[in-house]
Amino acid sequence: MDTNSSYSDNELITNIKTGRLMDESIKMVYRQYFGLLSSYVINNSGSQQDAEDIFQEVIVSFIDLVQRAKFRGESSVKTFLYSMNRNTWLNELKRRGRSEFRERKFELVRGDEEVDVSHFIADREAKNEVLSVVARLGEACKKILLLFYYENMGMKEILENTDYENEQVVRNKKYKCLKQLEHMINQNPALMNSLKNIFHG
Amino acid sequence: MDNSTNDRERLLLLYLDGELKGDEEEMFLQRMKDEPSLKEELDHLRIARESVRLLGIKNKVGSIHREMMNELPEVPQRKPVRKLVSYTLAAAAVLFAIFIGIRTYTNSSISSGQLYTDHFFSYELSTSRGGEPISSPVEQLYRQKNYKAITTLPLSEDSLDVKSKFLTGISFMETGDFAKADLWLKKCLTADNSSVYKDASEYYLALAGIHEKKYDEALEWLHKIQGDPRHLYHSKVSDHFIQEVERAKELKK
Repeated sequence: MDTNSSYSDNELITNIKTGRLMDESIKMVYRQYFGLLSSYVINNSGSQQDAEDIFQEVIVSFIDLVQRAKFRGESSVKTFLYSMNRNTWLNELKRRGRSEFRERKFELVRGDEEVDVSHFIADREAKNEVLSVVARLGEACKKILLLFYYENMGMKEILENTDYENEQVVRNKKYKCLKQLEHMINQNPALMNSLKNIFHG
Repeated sequence: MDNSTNDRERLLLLYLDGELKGDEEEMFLQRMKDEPSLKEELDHLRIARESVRLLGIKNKVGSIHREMMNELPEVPQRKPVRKLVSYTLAAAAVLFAIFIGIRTYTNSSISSGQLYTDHFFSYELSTSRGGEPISSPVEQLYRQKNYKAITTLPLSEDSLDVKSKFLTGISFMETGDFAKADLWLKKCLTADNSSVYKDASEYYLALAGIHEKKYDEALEWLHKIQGDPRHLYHSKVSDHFIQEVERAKELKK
C-alpha cells in the first residue's frame, strides 16, 4: 500500500538526485501539483489529454534538470514547475500555430510567481526529437542500455535479467547498441549539436 | 576491425562508464588531448548515454502517470468563454454596467437557482484512462449520462464504493433532487474524507446548499474551499461568488 509521502523541496531534490524514494517522490509531485498545473492548460484552450501530456513532459524535464544539477533550488519547486508548465504549454500552442496563442493574453493564476525558464524550454524540441530517435532502437538494445545506464545494473545483474550467454556478450552488445544509437543521432547533425549544448553546455 | 580500433573502442567505453583507472586513465586523457577526434567520439557516446537516461526517466514517469491518473480526480474545466471582437466587448461592458446599475437601484434579489446555474457544471469522468475496466454499474450508467437510471437503482450504502457514492450524489443533482444529492455526497465524505472525490464533493455540496437556500451551510463549504489554495476547486470560488451568496442570504431574511 502506497503511503502519501510528503517531502520538503530539499528532500524532494535529494531524492531525485540520488534516485532513492523516486517513485514516492514523483507521486508526491503529482498529488501536490497536477491539479494546479493541469488546470492552467485546460483553462487555456487545452484538453485533459493535453494537460496530462504537458505535465508528464514537465516532470521528465524537472527530474532531468535536477539530476544534471541544472536546477539547484533557486526558486521553489512549485514556482519552477508552474513556470515550466505554463511556458511548455505556450510553446506547444505556438508549435501548433494555434490562433489562441496570438489572440489571447494568458493569465497567471492569481498569486503565482514565475521564474525565467526560457532556456530550458528552448531545449524542448531537441529532447523530444532525441527521445523519438531512441524509441526507434530495437527492444533488445533499449533494454540493455536502460538496465545499464538508467537502472545502474552491473553486467552480472543484466546477465540475470536477459538471455545472453555471458558477461562479455552483454558488454559487446551494450557497446554495439550505444554506437548504433550514437550513429542514429549523428545522422541529424543539427540535433547532435543541440544535444551537445544541452548535455555538455 | 584491427587491434588498434578494438583498443580505442574498449578504452572509450571503459572511460565513459567510469571504469578506467590509474595509469590507463591518465594515458587515455593524454591521448584525447592529442586526438581531437577521440574527444569528439567520447562526446557523442556521452550524448547517446544521456539520451538513454532521458528515456529511462520518461518511462518511469509514464508508468507512475497511469497509476496517478486512476487516483487523482479529473480537473474541472471552466465553461468555455465565447470569443468576442472588441466592439462587442465594449457593447457588452456598457450593457453590463447598465444591468449592474439597474440591479443596484432596484435592489433586486439574487435567485438561488440562478446562482446555482451560474456555477454548476457537469462532472465528467476521464475518457483517457486507456483500457481501465469500468467496475461498477453506477459508473457505467454515469458514463452514458443516464443519471435517472442511477437514481432508480436499488442503492445500498454498504454495497457502493466511494466513487459510486460520489457519482450517485452528482446524478441526484443532475436530476434535480438536491436533498438526496446532499445525502450521497456526505456519505461519500463520511466513507473516506481523503478520497480523490473529497474536493469535488465539497464543491457540489456547496452548490446543492445554494440551490436549497441553505446559505449558511453553502458558505461554510465555500469558505473552506477558498481558504485552501491546494483545493482542486479553489479557483472556482471567487470573492465575488461568495459575496453573491452572502447577498442572497441577506435578501432571504
